[in-house]
Amino acid sequence: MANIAPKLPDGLKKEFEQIVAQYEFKRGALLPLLHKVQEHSGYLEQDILVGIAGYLNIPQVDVFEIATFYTLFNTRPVGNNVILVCDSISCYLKDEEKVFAQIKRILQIGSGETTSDGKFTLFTTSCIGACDRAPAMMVNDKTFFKLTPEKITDILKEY
Amino acid sequence: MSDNLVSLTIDGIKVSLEKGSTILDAAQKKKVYIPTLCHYPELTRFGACRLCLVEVEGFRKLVAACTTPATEGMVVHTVTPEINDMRKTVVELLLLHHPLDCLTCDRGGDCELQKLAFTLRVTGDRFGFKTEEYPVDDTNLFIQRNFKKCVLCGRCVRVCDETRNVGALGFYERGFSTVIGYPYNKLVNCEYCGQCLSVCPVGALICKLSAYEARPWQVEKQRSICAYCGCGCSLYLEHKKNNLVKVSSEYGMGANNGLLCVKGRFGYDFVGSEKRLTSPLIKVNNSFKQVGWAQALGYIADGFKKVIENKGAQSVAGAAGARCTNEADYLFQKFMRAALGTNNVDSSVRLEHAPSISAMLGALGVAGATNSLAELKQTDAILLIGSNITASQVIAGIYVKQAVRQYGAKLIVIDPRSLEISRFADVWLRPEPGTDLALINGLLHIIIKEGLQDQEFIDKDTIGFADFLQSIKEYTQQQVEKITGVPAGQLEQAARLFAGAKTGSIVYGMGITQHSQGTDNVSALINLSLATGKLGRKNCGIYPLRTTCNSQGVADMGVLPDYYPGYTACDDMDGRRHFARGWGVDLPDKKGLYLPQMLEAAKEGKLSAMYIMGENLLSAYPERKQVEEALCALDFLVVQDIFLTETAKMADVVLPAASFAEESGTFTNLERRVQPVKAAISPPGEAKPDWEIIAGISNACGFVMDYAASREITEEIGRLAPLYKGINSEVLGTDGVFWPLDDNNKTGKPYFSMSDFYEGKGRFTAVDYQSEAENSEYPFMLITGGILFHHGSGAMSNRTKGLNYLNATGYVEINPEDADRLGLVEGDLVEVVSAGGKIEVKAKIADRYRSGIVFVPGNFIDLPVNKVMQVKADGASHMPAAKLTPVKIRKVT
Repeated sequence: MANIAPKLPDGLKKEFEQIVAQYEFKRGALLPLLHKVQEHSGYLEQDILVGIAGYLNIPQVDVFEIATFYTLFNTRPVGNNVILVCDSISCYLKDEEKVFAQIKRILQIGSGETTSDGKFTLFTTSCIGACDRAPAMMVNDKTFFKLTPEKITDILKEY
Repeated sequence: MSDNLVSLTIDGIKVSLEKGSTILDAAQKKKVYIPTLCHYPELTRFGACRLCLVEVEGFRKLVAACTTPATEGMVVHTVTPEINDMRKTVVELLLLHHPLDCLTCDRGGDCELQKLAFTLRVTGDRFGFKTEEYPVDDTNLFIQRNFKKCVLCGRCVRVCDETRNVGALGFYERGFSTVIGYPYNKLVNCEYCGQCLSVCPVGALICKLSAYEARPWQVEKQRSICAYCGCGCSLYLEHKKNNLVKVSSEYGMGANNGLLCVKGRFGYDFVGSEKRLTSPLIKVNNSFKQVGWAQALGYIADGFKKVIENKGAQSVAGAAGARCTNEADYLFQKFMRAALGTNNVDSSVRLEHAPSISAMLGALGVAGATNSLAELKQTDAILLIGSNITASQVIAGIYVKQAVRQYGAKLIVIDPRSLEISRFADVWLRPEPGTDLALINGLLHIIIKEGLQDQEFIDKDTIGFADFLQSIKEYTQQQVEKITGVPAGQLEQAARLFAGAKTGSIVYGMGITQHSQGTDNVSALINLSLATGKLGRKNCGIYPLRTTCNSQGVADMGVLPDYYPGYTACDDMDGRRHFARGWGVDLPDKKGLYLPQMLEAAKEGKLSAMYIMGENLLSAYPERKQVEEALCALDFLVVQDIFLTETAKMADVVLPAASFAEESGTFTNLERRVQPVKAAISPPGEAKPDWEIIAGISNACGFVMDYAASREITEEIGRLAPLYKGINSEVLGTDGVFWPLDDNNKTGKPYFSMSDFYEGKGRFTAVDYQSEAENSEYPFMLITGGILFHHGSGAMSNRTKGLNYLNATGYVEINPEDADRLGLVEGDLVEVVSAGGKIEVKAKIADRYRSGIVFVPGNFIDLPVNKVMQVKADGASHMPAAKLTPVKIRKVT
């Protein structure tokens, strides 16, 4: 059923309109809109996803499928920094597990959890396209390569 | 060899087929078995399960047969040791998740994975790897989802999105975490149609209503027709030991192409209700006494005879509902006319589409949809007016949605309400309620002004254009905008869209007919078809959306006071002679009373006895008081039905009838398709099929009706009713036929050519909009109508467990603005008051309607909205105009 007054993030209305205007079919704007929301609020709030579905006149399920498929989208509140450790085959073969264990030990959190000071949230991810320099991980937008447990300590200190 | 064909070899067998086909299509054409799991006809090719891998000579690796196009000269092998190993591994991997509880699984014996494991002899414990535990998903009231059993074939997701265009289901997360479910576990769009259930290859989806009732091999399946709306969906009645356990369907079946709605699939258990009538009842001292058939029939014959002897044949009347078979309807009017000698016979069609019959017979000479439902999918422009199609005629609604989404049709929706279908519209016009006629004339005005009419068609195939032109002169954009509130720009857009399309169809519901100008409304729509040349060919037609399984048939069968079967006018000498000869008796020459006239006559004492079959008139008739007073005034009332309805309670004799699942015969759906209805089980107790009861009464009255089976009645109809000429059980087959048949066409006419219309022409009718005075005492406009989860007046659907889970009580829907003004919150008890009466009902706040409009569903026995409704008859068709009633709303404190 058409959602007549969808909930959209305050202050993003204008940018939304600009994004949608770039596409011949409104639904094409879905992915850029989700990026915009995440950039604005850090994660994709459920009500806002409902709002976007209404705004684009597409079923809610289409929005949720996309939002949950990409590991770069957060569907829950996250810490200030999001760590994504690749656990696909190349990284796995190059001892990703040891790297991951080191992060868990230092931050005292498991996958999907946020540190108590709200500084880090940790996830695993599928391939991030860095197989040649495995194992790899991302912290926010930055990618780190050829990781070892030792390197992890230094990297985390930067944040 | 044609350019459109490719030929290839599969396992040494040569196959030629259309370009664009897949290897799987080719294999299936030659019945070469390739196992599949995610593949389903008509859904997008998915290529997910990897079971259909085949070897193609010259290709480096195995390819999926379901997604790989067949190309010229391909040599394909489907059975090699490598393929066999691969398939085994795929099934073993699927079994990693899958609990092997086939012994207690509801799908055991009917499971595609079980069959594959059996065929490939795979047990599934080679990897010794356990995946996550998931709780069972019970969000849906009807359908349980077991994630462990799910093979992620995505058939349910695709059928929901692509076929139903609903989009309630999706894939969440990715990789090993992938599950299928609803957005945040909330059922957002779900229409509970259960189509996902019907495509699930395994036991991941289980119907909670029928789970563990029977093993697949214990049930017998009887193909028949659904008893709810006019779409006439084919379904299987699955029964065990004379109990219905399930309703199912199969891809490609019938007018519905195997699709069913929530009512059809989950609304069957009224059949087995404990409240069914099981023996004839006679009222003695105001309470019912059970009697045997012989006594009941004798009592009825005496009752009718006494009234006729004292007051004449014109003092009896009959009214039939639209749920009975053609055979019962035919016998009903035959009994009234031939045995009792009166044309006082009418049906509930008077309450829904009488205006369609009078307008269409006048303009075209036929009364029924001019084209088939399936054609809607191929139509370039569809104009949908006055119908909540996705709730009332769900399958027709799906075809409209598919036309838009899958075939790129343009959709114009005209309705003041915000409906599910509005989301699919290219143009959505929201006129003030009751101003449709001005709006349609306005569209025609624009079409003529801009020269968009099909002049060649008009000159060659129509009559009355000049007079019609005069009649629409005053409907300028400005004038129409003033009356309807629809901006001129939108009117122009709609007019250009419809007139400019190559093919176009008009689809309308009771929002058009249930008005004091109902017949004029339909005439205006026919004018629109004629002016734009969108009639008399494929994909160009007019569809009145009938509301009940045999609404079309009951009128076709002449359960009308002015027409014999097949719309032969009662005052037509030749026609009368034809039926008099056929029935071997003299027939009355005057046309009879229309249903509203019957009620009036009863109140005035001019009508003394009535026979009502299969209709709860007290709930279905728009003015309840009128019916109450009329039935009370009768000397003798016979009611034949499946339940002791409110109407039946007023009767002197009540007769227990068989339901659709217990009776054989035919229904005619809204596209004129006559379809075989087959009894699956036997009726409860002493109940009998309607036709047998009528024949029994007739015989008791001394007019012999001797039929061994309903089949013989079908044949008599085929002999006597011109439209049904040649139709018999043999011709009908399983899919039925479109009337009329001709000698060289044994499946009938899915669409009418111009030559099928009266004298081969369409007639324009000049019609003028009459405004209605507003009444400031009653500031709200009450719209009544149907909702998705129930049907008609609720006689059947209110008595099903499943549909009542979803929605058991009625409500009044009020716009948030109005609710604020009246100080109402959701669930408040309010009083809806009209000049005619009042009801108390709970408020539901929703923004589907504009301020000033309220909606009450007419589908609930416990919410008699017809106590409020006020009737003004449509002059031409005697239809009680029921759609709109001015009311006021008060909060009950």
